[in-house]
Amino acid sequence: MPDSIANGVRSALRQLVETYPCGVTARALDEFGWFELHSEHPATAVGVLFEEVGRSAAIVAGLDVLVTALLSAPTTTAKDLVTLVVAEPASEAPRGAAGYILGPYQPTVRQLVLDISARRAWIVGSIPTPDSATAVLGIDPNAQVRRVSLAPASDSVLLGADVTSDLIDGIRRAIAYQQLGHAAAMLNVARQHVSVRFQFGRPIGSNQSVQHRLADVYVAIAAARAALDVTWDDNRSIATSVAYVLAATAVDTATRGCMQVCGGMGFTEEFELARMIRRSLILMGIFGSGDALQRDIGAGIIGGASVPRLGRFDVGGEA
Amino acid sequence: MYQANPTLDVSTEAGLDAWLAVHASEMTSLRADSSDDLNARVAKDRALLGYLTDRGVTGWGWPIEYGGRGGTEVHRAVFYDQLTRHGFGMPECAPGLEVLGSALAKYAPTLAAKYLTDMLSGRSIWCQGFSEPEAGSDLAALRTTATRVDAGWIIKGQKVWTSLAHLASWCGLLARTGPPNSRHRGLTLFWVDMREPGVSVRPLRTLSGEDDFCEVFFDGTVVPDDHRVGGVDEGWDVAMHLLQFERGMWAWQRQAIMHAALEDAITRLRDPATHSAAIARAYVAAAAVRSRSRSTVERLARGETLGPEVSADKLLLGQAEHIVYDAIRSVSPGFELSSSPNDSALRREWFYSRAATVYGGSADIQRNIVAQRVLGLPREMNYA
Repeated sequence: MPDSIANGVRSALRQLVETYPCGVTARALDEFGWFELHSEHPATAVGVLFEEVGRSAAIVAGLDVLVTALLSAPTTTAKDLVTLVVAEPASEAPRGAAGYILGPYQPTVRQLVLDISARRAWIVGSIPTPDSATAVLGIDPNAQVRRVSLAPASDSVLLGADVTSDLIDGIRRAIAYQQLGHAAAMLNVARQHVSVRFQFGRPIGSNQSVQHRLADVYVAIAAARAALDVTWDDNRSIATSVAYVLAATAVDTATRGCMQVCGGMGFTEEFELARMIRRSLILMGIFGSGDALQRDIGAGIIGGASVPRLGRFDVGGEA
Repeated sequence: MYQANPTLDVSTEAGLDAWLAVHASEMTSLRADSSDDLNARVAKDRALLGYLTDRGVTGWGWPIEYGGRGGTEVHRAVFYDQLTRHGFGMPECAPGLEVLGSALAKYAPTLAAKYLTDMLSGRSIWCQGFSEPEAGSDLAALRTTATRVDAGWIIKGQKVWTSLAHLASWCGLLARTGPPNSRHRGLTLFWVDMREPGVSVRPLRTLSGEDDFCEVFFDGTVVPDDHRVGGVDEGWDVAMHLLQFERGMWAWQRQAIMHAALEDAITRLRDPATHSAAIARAYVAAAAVRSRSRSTVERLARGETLGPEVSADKLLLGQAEHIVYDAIRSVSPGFELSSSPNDSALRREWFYSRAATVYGGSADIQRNIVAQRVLGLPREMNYA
């Protein structure tokens, strides 16, 4: 996609996300043409949507649309929507399972119950009634995360290992983009703060210690972004795992560095950082902080006795 | 021309990979091993490049008019990556080639046509004469002078931290052609023959245990005017141009080395369960450099000019060097006490990794650049 068009799509998607502070709905994304965009330019459709959701620290939305697109034919619309239920780790999914639903909820005919740590996924036909869902308050009471108990379902269908693996990679990548967005937004907030906050007669951002903290945040974000780019031309799961770990590192570095340079402001609930920090942490609670994934990466490369070189070049020249 | 496998297109990644696999057995004597010291490694590198040149494998990514085979920086990156994947390491002269070859190709076509093939084929080694005792991070403070005379230019001054100067035939030397206080406006790059009278080199023993870099003294060395790279007083532009390769391609070369070093380390693991966390952390750090550097190499290949954001590549590299070689140290039981060639080589590499946050513009300076020129934070107070 030419850069000018990509930029147009980016700003349109950003606007769409900002229009729905309570979470952009599947219907709105469908009307926007997100499914067509995903079938033609998946990197833009996924990358921009989730990064923008992260940047605006809006309600986590888009995962249902993403799994619907990953499970279905390219002509999918919001009518075929599948609801994603992320199984609680160590729960006996799907039978008697509990899981989390993220973002704006509309009843759907099918649900995807995904147990990420066990690497298993089911399509379940029964619909959880809204009253079986309880709001998760936890670290981010405004995130609109709901916990559902799934009734024992006779019609659940276990998905194959390949599909499940693709779903897990796809979701991890989306969450990584969202964490990247959170980190980028935190950096912007901190950058503005240190430029206008004066102490000792000069902006605190002119101090080298402050500058270096924010430079480290920038670098961590750059690493995560580059690793996410790689996932689009290297479809091995390890590429997604590395990107997820680097995005988690980026948001952790941003939380640490930005809170520090924002001083007392960064410690208040009213300052913008708070929302981003809480949102990034609740995502870590549901999808993992990256630590376990990093251990898996280590075990994988040691077991395979080889070190994967990620990514391919997409500019060959005309030698 | 010799072509053992005309079906393998060595300008492609897959073709080069297959070619190196097919020819590996003929190339064992060209492979540096842990008992080789710097001189032995350089000798093998030169033999390796000569062997590959005779078979049409080098030169991809360099302009045809200067003796290359055409293509882009991507070809060069693939070549470096594949060499390390096949256990040949990175030729010691490759960094000099990237930095100075790029400068010659853009600013001195005649010199490029004359000298580039020597470098590509391992016949000559080039060094980069930039830093001085009081001009490191602050390169524009350098004081080595070049004075115009009938025969060309007379060079007087001292360089330091000049890698491989004791083995080099040529030096890309940045000298002051303007008034003493002209800063970056009064610099010019010269192509200096290291065998000329007035050049003396004193190798410096580094913590890696080798004479990696040198002090170089110029006492009236004459350089003909046709060995000037770029315009008079325009050396800063040339330096900024080659800095893109110094920051961009260097990180790519080092990530290739780090991936190979990690691969070597995991084959020697005695207790995988204990060490998997350190190995994983190291791998992620190396993969971050590779991912970032890949996009930088692609930008170079598209002819984009890299800005201050390339400092992120250098910072990621420095972080990864420390993490990767600390991990290798932690899984190597003989690191401190053994005298085996392998452990000696690991120590050398570990010490070298410490330099990554210092050479080529220290990590601290890179953070200043990112903060002030990328993030737009206010500059620090100036001290008079």
